[in-house]
Amino acid sequence: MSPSDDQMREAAIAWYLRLREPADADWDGFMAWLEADPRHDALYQEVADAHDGYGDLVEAVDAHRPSNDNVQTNPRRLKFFAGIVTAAAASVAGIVGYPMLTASPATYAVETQPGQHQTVRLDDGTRIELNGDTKIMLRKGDARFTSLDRGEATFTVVHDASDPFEVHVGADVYQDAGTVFDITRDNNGAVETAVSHGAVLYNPGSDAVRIEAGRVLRTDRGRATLASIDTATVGTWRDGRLIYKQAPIARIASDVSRNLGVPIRVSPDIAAQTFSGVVILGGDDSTILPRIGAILDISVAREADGWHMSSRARDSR
Amino acid sequence: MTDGGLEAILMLNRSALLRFLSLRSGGADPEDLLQELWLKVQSLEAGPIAEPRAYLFKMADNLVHDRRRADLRRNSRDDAWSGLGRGASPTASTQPTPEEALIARQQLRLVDEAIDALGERTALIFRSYRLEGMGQREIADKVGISLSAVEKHLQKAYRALTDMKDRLHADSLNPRRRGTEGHEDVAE
Repeated sequence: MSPSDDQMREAAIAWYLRLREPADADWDGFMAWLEADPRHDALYQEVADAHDGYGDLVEAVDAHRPSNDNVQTNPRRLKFFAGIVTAAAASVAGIVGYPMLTASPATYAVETQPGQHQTVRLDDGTRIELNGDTKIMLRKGDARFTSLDRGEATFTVVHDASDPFEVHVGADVYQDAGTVFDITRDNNGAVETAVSHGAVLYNPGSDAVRIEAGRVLRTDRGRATLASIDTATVGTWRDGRLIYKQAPIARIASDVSRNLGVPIRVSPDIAAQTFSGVVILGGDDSTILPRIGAILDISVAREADGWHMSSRARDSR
Repeated sequence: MTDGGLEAILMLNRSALLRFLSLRSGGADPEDLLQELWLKVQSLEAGPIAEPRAYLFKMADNLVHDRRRADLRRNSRDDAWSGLGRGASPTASTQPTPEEALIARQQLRLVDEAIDALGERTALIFRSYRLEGMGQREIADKVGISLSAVEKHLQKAYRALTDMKDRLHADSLNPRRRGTEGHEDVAE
């Protein structure tokens, strides 16, 4: 192989690596490179084939790994959705539970760090998926009680009409009626409960408001409002997608911050501005936040300890 | 629920995408590929995409790549490495036979040795990138090196990977030529 072939191959690898980073992808430059020499395309394709081929080898080996394999060969699964998986991977260690001395009967907390996701399964089969920066309380021996102290969780409840599942949020109670629902409690105490299947009873003992599937109840400082919501959008943070209809930017910033684990400050002049659409959370904060800025048509800048969202007009370039 | 945004951008970039598809597919049927791309765009879920033009090029690139892989599999069932390829979609995979898995295990050991020979840091960065699916920026932050340094490590690893693929391919076609040509080491 002549030195120039060698350089071409190196260039092919460099192009391949760069085009896989959305922020660095220069497709016009790549086209110019492809046009410069007819051999370039084949070399680029070889790199892509080697990349895939390696994945195929790993998968083929994994597929035939005996279940009692020795520890030397730790199983390697290819992961296809980088950002989301690394956020979730941080939580595989299991439930961070600690006993609370003050509360009785024996209550314990399950808490996630910002950017970390975790799934809790209760004895009755009920599943609670915790978004980042979230804290719930559970009771030992009582799978029907949960309280949401902070953050966001999606509840997939195994319904039992004789012993309904309850989520306590502050002084309010949300009681399931055969249900998948998502509750978010932001730092200012505003609570949003969206139901995708079945129904939820809000404060069954007093208000007894029934939230049907496809409805969302928002409570904020004593004011409660019911609105419609597309059930397909409930709890989509679990797939790294946040779906909004007329949502204020302050709310979006708080959701993104919880999911990514980075502080986000929002200028007051845009906090109430609304957005409808999808925010996709693939990648790390330095790729996601500029993207969100483009989607929301606002300026997003890095600060010492996080990010700052402001109006685009102020940094007109 | 479709917002026609991406389609409009496809229209706008039609000639550039055609040129790209033509370059990537050896001139074969770029119009046909563009139609396929169009269908894919239409079947996408609606929602804003940050870099729609780059996104379309990436889709076009994947399209050509997937089609080439499908052709390759049809034409060379006995090329061990590519013969193991079961499509770009991991869910559409069929189980490899035990023999295929054995070959895969042997080949993977050779590849892993080649990667390990590049040094611990390069091997770690390559595996984080390829197996864990970490982004280059993320790796740079975790390891505490510059983005271009990460790229240099990956450049080395991918060089070894393509060399090894060439070598395994040559071996499977003509076992007697094992290790005689086509795989000079990276001069470094």
